[in-house]
Amino acid sequence: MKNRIARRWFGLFFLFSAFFIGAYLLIFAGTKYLPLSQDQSSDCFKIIIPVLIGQMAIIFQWLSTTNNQDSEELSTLPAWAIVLPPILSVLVIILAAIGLIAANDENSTLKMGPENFKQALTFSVTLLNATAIYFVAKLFPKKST
Amino acid sequence: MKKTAFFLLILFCSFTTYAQNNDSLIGLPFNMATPDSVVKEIVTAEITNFRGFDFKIDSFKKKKNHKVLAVNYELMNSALAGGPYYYLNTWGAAWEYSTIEEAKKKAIEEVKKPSTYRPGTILFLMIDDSLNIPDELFDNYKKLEQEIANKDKRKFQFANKTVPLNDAFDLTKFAVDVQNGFSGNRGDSIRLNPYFPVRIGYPDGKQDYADACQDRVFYAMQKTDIADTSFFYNELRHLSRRGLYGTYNRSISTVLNFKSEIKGRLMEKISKFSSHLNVQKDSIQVALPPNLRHALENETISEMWVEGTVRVTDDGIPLEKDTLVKPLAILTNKGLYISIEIRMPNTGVYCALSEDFHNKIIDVTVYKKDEESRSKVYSTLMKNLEIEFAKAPLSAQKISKLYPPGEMWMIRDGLPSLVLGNPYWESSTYTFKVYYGGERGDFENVYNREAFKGVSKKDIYSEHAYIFLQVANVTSTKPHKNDVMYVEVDKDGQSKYFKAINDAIESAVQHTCEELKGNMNVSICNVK
Repeated sequence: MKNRIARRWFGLFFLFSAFFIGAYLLIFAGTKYLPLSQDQSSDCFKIIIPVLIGQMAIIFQWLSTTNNQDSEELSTLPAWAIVLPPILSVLVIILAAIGLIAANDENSTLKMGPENFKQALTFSVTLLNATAIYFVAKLFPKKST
Repeated sequence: MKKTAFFLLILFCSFTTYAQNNDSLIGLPFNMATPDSVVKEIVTAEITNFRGFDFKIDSFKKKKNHKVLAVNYELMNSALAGGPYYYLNTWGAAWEYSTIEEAKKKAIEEVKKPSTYRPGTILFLMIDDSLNIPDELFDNYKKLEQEIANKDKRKFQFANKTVPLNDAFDLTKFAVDVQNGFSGNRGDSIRLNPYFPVRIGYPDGKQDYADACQDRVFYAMQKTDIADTSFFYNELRHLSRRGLYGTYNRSISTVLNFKSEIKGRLMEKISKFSSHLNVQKDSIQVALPPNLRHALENETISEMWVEGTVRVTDDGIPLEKDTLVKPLAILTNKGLYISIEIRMPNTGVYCALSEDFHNKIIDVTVYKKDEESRSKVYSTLMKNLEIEFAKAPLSAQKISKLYPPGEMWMIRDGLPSLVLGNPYWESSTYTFKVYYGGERGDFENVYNREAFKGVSKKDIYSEHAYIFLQVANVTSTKPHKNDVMYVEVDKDGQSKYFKAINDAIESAVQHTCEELKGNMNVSICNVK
């Protein structure tokens, strides 16, 4: 995978994930699509959004001082290691949200609750911290002054 | 209470007059009632100056001569009432009889009718047109009040004090505020949520009635040391999240004229809860008892923590909150005040009853003498309440258990809230209480009528008989079935529940009225 594609992947991933997850937590709290109280939703927001916004800040800071000299070079990172962790971390959140909604049905026997949803978000953030965030630092290095 | 006090005072003066002329009564031991058959003829007086004492004496005076007022009283000894006093149970009046003897006979029959009648002494006041009761009565009343306050102060030396009182507010004054039943200015009540106004006083005032022999409990505020303020403040911040605590049992009032005979000693379970009020930030108007207000007059209250009581089921599910709360702590611009509790050993008997009935009433004057028909009204009302509260969106179910007399409980626990809609779940209880306010001659009924809220006083007639209905509701919700705990409903949610409950009550009373072929007049159903 070329560096250009890897950077585009990470840039778009953090931008869209921050936007959609943030909007979901802010808009749908207290509805059947996100059965959490405002306080619980706020807790979830605090768990995940700062991490995503932090990565976005690094990426956009790098973009503002663009240095595309190596953009066509092949990345030394394996493609699966670039693509899979972000996809899996979002998948965890999507599955947790589906589980949360399904468990709130009167006849459901699922034990998923707000606390489990928070744990899923924490797990997702941990997954990103252990994987993609190292790559962000490598692909979007801070320009030395 | 003033009315009761005035009447007791009149009895006291009358009795004193009698006692001065009858040596045989002077040695009567306290708490030893004379046999029921002993009837005492006390004083002959025309009562013309009853300032503020709505005794319907004017209409009584207009009747023919040979008017007789019979009073059933008990001689009691209570430190809190300033020594021996005469406790009024019931009274009855008779007139338009050709002889005094006939009027006496009728009056004594009347006095024995109300359910609050207790075998004891009956005293006659015969009223003709020849004698005035002077203003001295009222001067004496003031003196008596002062004497009681002084005795209370002296009694505090026996109180259990949990902390040194050096820095506390004037404890005795404040305790007297509470003891005298300070109820605050109803217009200045504070609100724990938009639909639950409360007043500063002593929560669970009924405990004093319910267990007449128990110790009295008071509280006062003590300023914390500056070094401890931070510690207390941090503790208080977490207090209102504690849920219910301090559960205890309380006897059920047996003064109410229950329909069926009460067997054994009925108990109900009470729990405590606390709430935090951000007085300054939320611009809350707080009405404090006079002495506490005086002590804090140069300070600005910024935050306040209060403790209230709530009746709970055996399983601990909240049923009905008390409208009085006590301050646990007050944060002002000059410091933090912590409430300290003082337990005073009871040395006598003290009874006080305060029942507020509201929501709806049914005028059953036509059934004043017909207990069977009144019973039909009760059962029709309860049946319709059960039907309406079982309908969506409240969808509550009757709890199958033995209720206290005159009550019914319904519950919707651990089910989706149809009032708030998806995704909310609720734990709601509804407590229905009915109370019969009977004839004019029943003093307790007349008194309780005046505590009735929600209906204009002009619509309540003293000679009418009413069934009062009170519906109490405690609701908590959670946004997810598997959430750990239920929490208070927010402002919008409260508004939705308030409307749903009121609609159900309206509908139930309307149907009851139709079934009984009555006329619905705004909030009163007149049974024809």
